[in-house]
Amino acid sequence: MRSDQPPAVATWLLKQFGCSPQNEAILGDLIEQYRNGRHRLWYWRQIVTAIAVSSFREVWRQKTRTLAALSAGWIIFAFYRSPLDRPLFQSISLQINFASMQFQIPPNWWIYCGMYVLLLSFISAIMGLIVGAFSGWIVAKFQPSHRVSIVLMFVASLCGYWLFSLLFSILKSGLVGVGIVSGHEIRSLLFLPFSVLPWVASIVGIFWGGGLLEGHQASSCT
Amino acid sequence: MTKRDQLGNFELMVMLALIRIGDNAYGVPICEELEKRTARDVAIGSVYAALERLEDKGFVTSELGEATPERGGRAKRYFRVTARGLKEVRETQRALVKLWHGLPELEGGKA
Repeated sequence: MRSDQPPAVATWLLKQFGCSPQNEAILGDLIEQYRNGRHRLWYWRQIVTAIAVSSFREVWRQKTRTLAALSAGWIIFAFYRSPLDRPLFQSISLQINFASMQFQIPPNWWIYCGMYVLLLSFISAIMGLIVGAFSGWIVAKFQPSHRVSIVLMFVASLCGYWLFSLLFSILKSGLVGVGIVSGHEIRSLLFLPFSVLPWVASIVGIFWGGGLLEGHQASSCT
Repeated sequence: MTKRDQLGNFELMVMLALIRIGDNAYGVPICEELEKRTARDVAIGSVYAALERLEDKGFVTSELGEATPERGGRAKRYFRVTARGLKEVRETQRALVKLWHGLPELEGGKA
């Protein structure tokens, strides 16, 4: 039987990141429609659209400042030389090969390669968190009163770039482009989630530095 | 009238839905009306964005209504078309009818 309560995470997301002054009314309308039989997916789709529309509207009103803020954030990430600024999966497959050569480990001794990858992912994740927090803080400083929409736009632009570079890497190098090392297909797949860790850490860092993980965000929207 | 004050396509649809609904025009009936008449899915976020723009232009006013338990204790926001908004809709209708008139390609209901 379907719960009477709408998805709590989706509701939290709108409360936290929705920039419309009518956020409470929107939420009330969505809850009313959900209780009248709308599907969970419909609710999620409406929440994501409401956040995107309100954020875009906010940054459109402040085009110059948004552009300056995004440029500043991008410059910080451009100086951050790590696996993040290369097609990540490809770089990890290269690192596996490098580890094999560096430590004279036979390439089929995958557990050492795996540990090396995990260590690198962990270090990259910490670096990503620090750089993300710094860039998020800088981006938010450009327009503290609209920090939610500007920081969201910055994250969206970075995710777009990462997705593009990942697709480019796959098109260019095939399976090696996503870190699937020949002869280690299944084992390579096991490490894929860890290779995403630096990305996730960077995004969490940006939200953290941008002040988006604090309480209710309504005050940072017009 | 500046370009900013003109009605966009979606804004015009929202205005017509508001006029049709009358006094009980808040988010849910507005979306239902738009979905029923256009046979398209409507995002409530887009409807509120259009309503905010219309309010900025002075075509619509809004006021908070009662909070009800089925809305999680949240108040409804009722919208109403202003006299200026009504005039703008009439002018847009006149302009569209003039543009429509005498186009054989658009007669008979087939594209």
